Amino acid sequence: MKDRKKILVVDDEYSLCKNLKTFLVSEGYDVLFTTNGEQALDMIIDEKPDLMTLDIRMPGMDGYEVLKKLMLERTGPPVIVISAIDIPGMEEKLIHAGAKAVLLKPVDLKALAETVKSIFNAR
Amino acid sequence: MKGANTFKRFLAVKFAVFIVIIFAVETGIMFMFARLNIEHTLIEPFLDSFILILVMTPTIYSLFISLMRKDEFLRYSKEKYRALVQTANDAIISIDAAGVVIFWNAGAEKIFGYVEEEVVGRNIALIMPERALDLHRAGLERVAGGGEPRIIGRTVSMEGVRKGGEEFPIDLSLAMWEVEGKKYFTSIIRDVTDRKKAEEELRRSNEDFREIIENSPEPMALSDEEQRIVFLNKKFTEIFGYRLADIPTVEEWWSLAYPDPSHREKIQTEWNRRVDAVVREGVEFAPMEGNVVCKNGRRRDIVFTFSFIGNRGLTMFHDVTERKAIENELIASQTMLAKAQKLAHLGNWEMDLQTGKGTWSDESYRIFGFEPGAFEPTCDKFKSLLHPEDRNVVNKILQKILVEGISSFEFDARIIMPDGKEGVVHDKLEVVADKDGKPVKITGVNYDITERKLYERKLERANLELSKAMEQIRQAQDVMIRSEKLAAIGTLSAGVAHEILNPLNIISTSVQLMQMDELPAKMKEMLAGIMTQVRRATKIANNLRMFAHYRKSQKVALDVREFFNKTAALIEGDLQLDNIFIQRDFDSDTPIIYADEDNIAQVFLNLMSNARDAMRERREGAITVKTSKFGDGVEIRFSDNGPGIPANIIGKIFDPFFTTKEPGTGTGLGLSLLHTIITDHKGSVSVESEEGKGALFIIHLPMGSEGGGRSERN
Repeated sequence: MKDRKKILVVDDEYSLCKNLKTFLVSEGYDVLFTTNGEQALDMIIDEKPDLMTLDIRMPGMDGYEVLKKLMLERTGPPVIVISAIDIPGMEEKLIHAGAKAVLLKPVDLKALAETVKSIFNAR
Repeated sequence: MKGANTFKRFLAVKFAVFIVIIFAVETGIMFMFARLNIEHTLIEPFLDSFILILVMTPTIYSLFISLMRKDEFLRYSKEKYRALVQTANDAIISIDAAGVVIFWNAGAEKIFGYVEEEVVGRNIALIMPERALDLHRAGLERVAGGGEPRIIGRTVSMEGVRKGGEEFPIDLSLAMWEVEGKKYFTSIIRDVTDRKKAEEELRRSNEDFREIIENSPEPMALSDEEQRIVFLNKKFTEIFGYRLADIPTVEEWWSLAYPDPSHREKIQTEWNRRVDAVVREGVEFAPMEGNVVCKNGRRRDIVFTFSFIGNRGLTMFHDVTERKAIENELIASQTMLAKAQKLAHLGNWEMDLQTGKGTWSDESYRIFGFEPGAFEPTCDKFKSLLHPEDRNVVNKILQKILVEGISSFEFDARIIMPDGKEGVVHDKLEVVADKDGKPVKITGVNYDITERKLYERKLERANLELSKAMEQIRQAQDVMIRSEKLAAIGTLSAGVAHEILNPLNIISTSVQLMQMDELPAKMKEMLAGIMTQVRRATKIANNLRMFAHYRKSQKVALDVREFFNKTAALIEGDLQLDNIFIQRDFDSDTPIIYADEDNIAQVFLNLMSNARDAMRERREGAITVKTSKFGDGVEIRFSDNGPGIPANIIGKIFDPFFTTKEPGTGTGLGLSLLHTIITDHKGSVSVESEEGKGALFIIHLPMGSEGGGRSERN
């Protein structure tokens, strides 16, 4: 079903992945998730998600790297960064690196839904 | 009477001539006969009888005459004798064998005080001292007994007794004569009281002279015309040790007293010159000095004088060894004082308050830049040497002394030297008062404190600079502490925030999901409560995070060169301990920019600490910092000679959380933060590196503008 947008959730917290999946599914999206940055890149190639939520601080390849790689390859889906990291200039840096939006943890699900919707609508 | 006498005398003379001629004729005939070898038995008896007749004739004649004219002749002879003896000054006294005075002349009257009538007929013992009487009587008895008188024909010294009992010295000659078998004695007596007195006087004065010389407190020596030393006094031997036996001649004295030939020659020449002057010009001997070697080998400084006493030479010596020693000591101590004053730049002076005149020590002159004694040191002169602005100090002092009655005072004054240079003296003075307490004189010392003042000023300046530097360090420390504190808090709070926010995130999303379901009202209420608390916790976590990063940036004018030094000062010492040295290559064109000091300090510190971590293993690390103008701002090229950045990670080094360091040693935020700061200042940072050849960070910062602004980066 081509109408249903596919969203890839990347976060090293399994519980969060599950929560986000539950929510986004309830919002009418197909949802995949992974707790590993490298796997995320594979899944983008394999599953071709329409959107990705990305955590920054992760073991192994972190979100920033994932983001930069995607930008480099210009292949990836739009990315919403959901991060607890807040250092000066972080948001600008992430936007600069290619993120469509930055949401800070704890994430407000309604805000997430709106952001997702606005990204899809913009297309 | 007179005619008969003349006749008798005539006869006597003819008779005597006649006898002499007869004897001469006989001797002549006898001589001739002997020469002619004429021998005749009749000649000798003839001649003998002839001569006998010739000799006897006057005797017979005189017997005849005497018989004829005995009384007259005697009277004549007696008168003549009397006239003679009465006019003599000496006493002529005749006594008979019993010692009775039979003749007493006018001289005797004068000498002994008795007139003739008192004495004649009395015993001669009258005028003899009692002690002489026995001897006198014994003499007379001996002569009476046919013995030879002992004192006849000699002059003897003895004592006589004047009328009144006074004894006095006499010289006595005695003659004895006989008349008609009776012995008589005539003595000629001379009163020698005066002569004796003179002799005694002379003897005593000689003795006195010798005594004076002998006991003189000064050494003296007497020499004769032959240059023999005839007398040395006690003091001479005491001072020089020589006795007469050691120096029998003047020549020996010279050679012993002046063993050094050249000194001896000098002294001797001088001596002779002066003695000559005494002899020729009759001037007094000019005292001269010599250094005499004593018998014990010690040396003494002596002043000699010399004078003639008759044909003898008296040399007097005055021992000035001690005076010389004191003089030398005085000279030495004066020299030392002058030296000390010179060394200490300290001079002393005096000023008479009545006259305004004074005396200055040599160093006082030098302090004021003059040769000693260059001028007469008066109060006005002193005033004129002072700096015009300091001249009133003189009046102030005089006022204090004369009006307020202070007794001591200290002041500093600037002086103008003859070469126009300015100096500073410190003066310390004291007032000397007379016995009524009236100030009469000021004595003082002045120190040259020009150099001290110079050093004081230098020290002051150095102190100022030091305190400035201290202030800078303190400020830089503040900056560092603040930055480090902020960085530490930032790191901590970022960690805390992350750790708390993740679980909060899960809780939050879970609750939000639950709220989406249809739930009993009570449950909904409770879930809302949970969300409220989640938000509260989030807020706390965010506040914590914001504490580190939310602040006002304050951009101020900043010279990056100076500011780098200020910051580097904080860790340069540590770097040097790790054998890392910073080389600065600051272009003088480097402009001032407006930047936040804390942020820029953070940039420099991060760069330096990264370089250190990279080069820690190096034997010698070098950090080179170049600054130059770039556009309207600056370019900072910061390089090290560390191992460099591998090509595969060089792109990640500004990424947050990227670190090559061991877990727990770095946050991975340092270069990311640096990047953020530079970006915040609208500048740029890039890195170039080749592995093994160090790394170069190139930072560009625009001039920017002054002022603050919120620099919130949430």
